Amino acid sequence: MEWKQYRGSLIGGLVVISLFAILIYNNVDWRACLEPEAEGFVLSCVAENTSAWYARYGVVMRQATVSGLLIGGVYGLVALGLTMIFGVLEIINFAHGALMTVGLYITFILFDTFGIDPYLGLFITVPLLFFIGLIVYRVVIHPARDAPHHNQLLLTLGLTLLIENLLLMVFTATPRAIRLDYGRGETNILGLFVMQFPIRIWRAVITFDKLLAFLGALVVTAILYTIIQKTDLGKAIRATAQERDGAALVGINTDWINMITFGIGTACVGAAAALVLPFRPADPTAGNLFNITAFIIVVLGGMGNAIGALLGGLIIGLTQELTGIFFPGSPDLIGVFVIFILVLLFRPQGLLGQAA
Amino acid sequence: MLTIENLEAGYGDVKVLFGVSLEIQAGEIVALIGANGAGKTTTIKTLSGLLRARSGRIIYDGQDITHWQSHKIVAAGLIQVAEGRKLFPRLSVLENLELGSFLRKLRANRAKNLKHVYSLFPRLAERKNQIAGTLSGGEQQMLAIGRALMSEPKLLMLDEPSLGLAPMLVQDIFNVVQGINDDGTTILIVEQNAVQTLRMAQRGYVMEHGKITLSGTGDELLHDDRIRTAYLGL
Amino acid sequence: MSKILRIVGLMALLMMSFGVMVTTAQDDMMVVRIGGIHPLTGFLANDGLGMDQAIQMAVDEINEMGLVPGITLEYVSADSTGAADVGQQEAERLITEEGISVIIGTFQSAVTGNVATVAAREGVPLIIDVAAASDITERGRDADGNQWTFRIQPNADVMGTFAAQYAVAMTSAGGGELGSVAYLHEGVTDYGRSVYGAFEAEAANIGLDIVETVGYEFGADYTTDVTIVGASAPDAVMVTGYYGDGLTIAQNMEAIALDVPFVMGVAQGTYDQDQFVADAGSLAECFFNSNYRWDNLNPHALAVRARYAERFGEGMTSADVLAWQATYIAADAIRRAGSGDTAAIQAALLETDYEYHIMPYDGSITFVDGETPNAIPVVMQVQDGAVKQVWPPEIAESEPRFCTSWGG
Ligand SMILES: Nc1ncnc2c1ncn2[C@@H]1O[C@H](COP(=O)(O)OP(=O)(O)OP(=O)(O)O)[C@@H](O)[C@H]1O
Ligand SMILES: [Mg+2]
Repeated sequence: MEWKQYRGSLIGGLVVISLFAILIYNNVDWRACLEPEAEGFVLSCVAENTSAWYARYGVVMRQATVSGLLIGGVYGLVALGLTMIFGVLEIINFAHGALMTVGLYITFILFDTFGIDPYLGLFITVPLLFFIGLIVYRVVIHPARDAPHHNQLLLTLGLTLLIENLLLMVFTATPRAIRLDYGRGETNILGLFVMQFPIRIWRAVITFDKLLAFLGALVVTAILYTIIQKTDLGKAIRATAQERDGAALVGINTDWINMITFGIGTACVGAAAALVLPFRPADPTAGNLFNITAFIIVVLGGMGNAIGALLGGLIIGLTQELTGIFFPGSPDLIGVFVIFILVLLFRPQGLLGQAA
Repeated sequence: MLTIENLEAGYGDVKVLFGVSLEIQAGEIVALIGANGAGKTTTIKTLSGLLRARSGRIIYDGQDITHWQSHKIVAAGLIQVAEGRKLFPRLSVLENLELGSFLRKLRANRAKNLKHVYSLFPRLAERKNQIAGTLSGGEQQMLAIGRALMSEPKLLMLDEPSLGLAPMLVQDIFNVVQGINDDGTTILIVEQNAVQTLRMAQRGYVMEHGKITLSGTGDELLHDDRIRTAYLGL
Repeated sequence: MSKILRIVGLMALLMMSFGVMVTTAQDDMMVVRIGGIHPLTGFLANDGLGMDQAIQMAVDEINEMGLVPGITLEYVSADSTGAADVGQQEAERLITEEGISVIIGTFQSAVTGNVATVAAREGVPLIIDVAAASDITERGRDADGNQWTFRIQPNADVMGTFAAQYAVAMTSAGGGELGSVAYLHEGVTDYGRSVYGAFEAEAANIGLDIVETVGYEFGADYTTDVTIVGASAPDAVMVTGYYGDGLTIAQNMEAIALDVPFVMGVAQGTYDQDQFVADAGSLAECFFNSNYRWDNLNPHALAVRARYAERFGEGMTSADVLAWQATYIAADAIRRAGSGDTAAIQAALLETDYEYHIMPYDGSITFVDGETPNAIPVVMQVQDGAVKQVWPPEIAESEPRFCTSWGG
């Protein structure tokens, strides 16, 4: 018998059991069962209190799971853009979130001034952010491509401040929200069929806008994944990421690939922005949250790994939502950071990354 | 076919090449030998456009390519098999070879060239779906040469193709190089294996501290006393 | 076209407020400088910029009308960026380099506390326009026990306490009984925690049961937090937080169809704002907010807001009104002090008895231990697309309605 064969399921089982233990310990009133006047056996008392707790909070757990996965898809899309840029250019683009903020405002203007639906607006936002990415690369990144890494880091940090302050000047800090006039109650899906929104699963709700954000993120991720895997451009991108000189030596214009990759990575946040604005108002620092999670996800999923980005996004979204339930009163990001540190310690190459 | 005049290049503040000049005629095999750190790899990198020349000129096929970008140089048929191979470690053997014919004008002949590479290195055909990073050193060298051949080189530059290979394999590689030359491809080869290289080469250059200090036919160099003591260990 | 003009105008204004003011005083007039510290950049800049404009407007009006005879006021604005240490540095700079005689600010409790300490140490009066944490006025006392910090808004204690009382009284007046509440507050800053703390204390006092509390963090979605609150099946839900989170929370409540016909902000930044009605449309209906405000029944207040709207092309928020009012309190003290002497102004502030305010409470603005004893919050509700004062009855424009816009 090989112990290794069972190691995975054993560890998995232990994790699940300890999670349950933590959940009960932190949430269920088990101390009452230890009181002298408590009736019956301690274990059955705890079981009873647990089921009472679940009767009230089961819906919360389901909601947290659903919400975590839905927003996790968007996190994954943002991280995908970041991880592509990192994979090819080997720069950590701190301005990624700020560029997403730009996307939010573009989506807002399209809706507010031109009356263009944000989902239709994807066909404008995504190409526009792609071009903005190209310009940012040409003007900011390319001139510094031979500079030391920490200088590039500072450069993208500076760009972030510049973008935030420009947005502040032009739009002020007033949160800019849009409200779709569909997607609540009976909703006609492309004239094909009618669906009731929000969807309810055992009383946990999925709203139209979040479902669309999730599905949209999956579709964009799938499209990008196909491009990366199947097309010549994708091959050139992967080749450049793996061996820059080698790519140059087979005739790939690596400068051009850099620029295109930066554009595609930025287009990702353009898509994310359009998908998110219906439920997350735009303000000059709105992208920060997505920036932070994207960095963690990129490390978590493995640098330059597309599937890892999506998986990492879902994990982070879930963790963030569930932390508050498993550990009431503790900051949501604590759980995320714990996972972050564990991955750094035990799998520094990321969950799906190849060992260096 | 290729003329280098007073080429200077380096890394950051470090200058490595101090006015290198050499010449290669079409159809030749030319050897470039020299001690470690002399600047051989630097020369080849500059020829490929991976490194910018600081001064001097590179004339290839009658064109001044000194400031061309590397992809354009590749398109012109000046191909290099790099020191350290520079393969795509997480792509398969086949994908590596296919990338060798990345340029549009090479696509048409891709199948034909692939067949040719497989005939030269049957081992690559057997392992075409294996991930390049997991190949043995010898196999990786075959793949590197194979990938370069996919680019239909007019002038093939090989930087230490025998590095780290078993003696048997070294001979194989030399045979292949000779074969490539026989098919009409001009060759510039950098090697530690000076005796064998100079025997194969029509002409050779000796590089020291970023300068060409000696040149001649392969035979002349093989019998030059300075070379015999310095590089051939004879 | 007008939009472009608006943006250009705003940018010009911003540049003006960033730079040093151009001196306009005539030679025979004494100049007294008033400093303002607000978050002009960062995630609260929305609020800070409006308040900064309101002070500028008040200063211009006061100079124009000659309300402080022989003295021209000059406004120097500073950016706290929303950070306590920056706010503190700016306070020091205003005092030592800009020579200001009184400070107005700063919107955030954490920043204001630090500024109050500096002001007391340097002997410069601070008038708080908005900042809720109760202990700030204490921190604004110097070693000899002299009061240097003065506040015209009801503090966190007062707002939390009154909200609990109002909630119970409003329900009774409607013929019901308030048995339990659940509380959703931002758990990141002093403000959310201290308002909740005061509410909790008063709830214990009057026997109001708090069945669930969620201290949330800022994010893109609060559906889970709202679900937790809903799972406790309370009679009312209280919310304390800023504009953006409050807006998303309202949307999330709608999404889960929260079955509680009484959702009330407590010193909350969203549910009494005109912008909420604009952003959320019909969803905004029925939301309450117990907060500081102007008196909407006072014609002067309406005139002030109209002037602001005309000059800056945007609505004047409650915080803006308080900043404007604080400037008048400062001017009143400077008038009585007769100069920019900070000790004289502090002495004058102690004697303040200002009846011409536009705040929603009877009696004057006076200061006892730095607080205004008369200052109380009012309850507002979005009704038929407008924010109405609904409680206490003396200043109510309309009766409270217990409902949700999603038909719960
Ligand atoms: N990337 C680099 N940065 C800085 N210096 C470099 C770099 N690459 C090479 N050098 C230096 O340039 C000089 C020439 O190196 P080069 O690789 O051209 O030598 P070489 O003749 O190919 O030697 P070998 O036979 O060992 O391959 C050496 O002193 C080396 O240390
Ligand atoms: Mg070398």
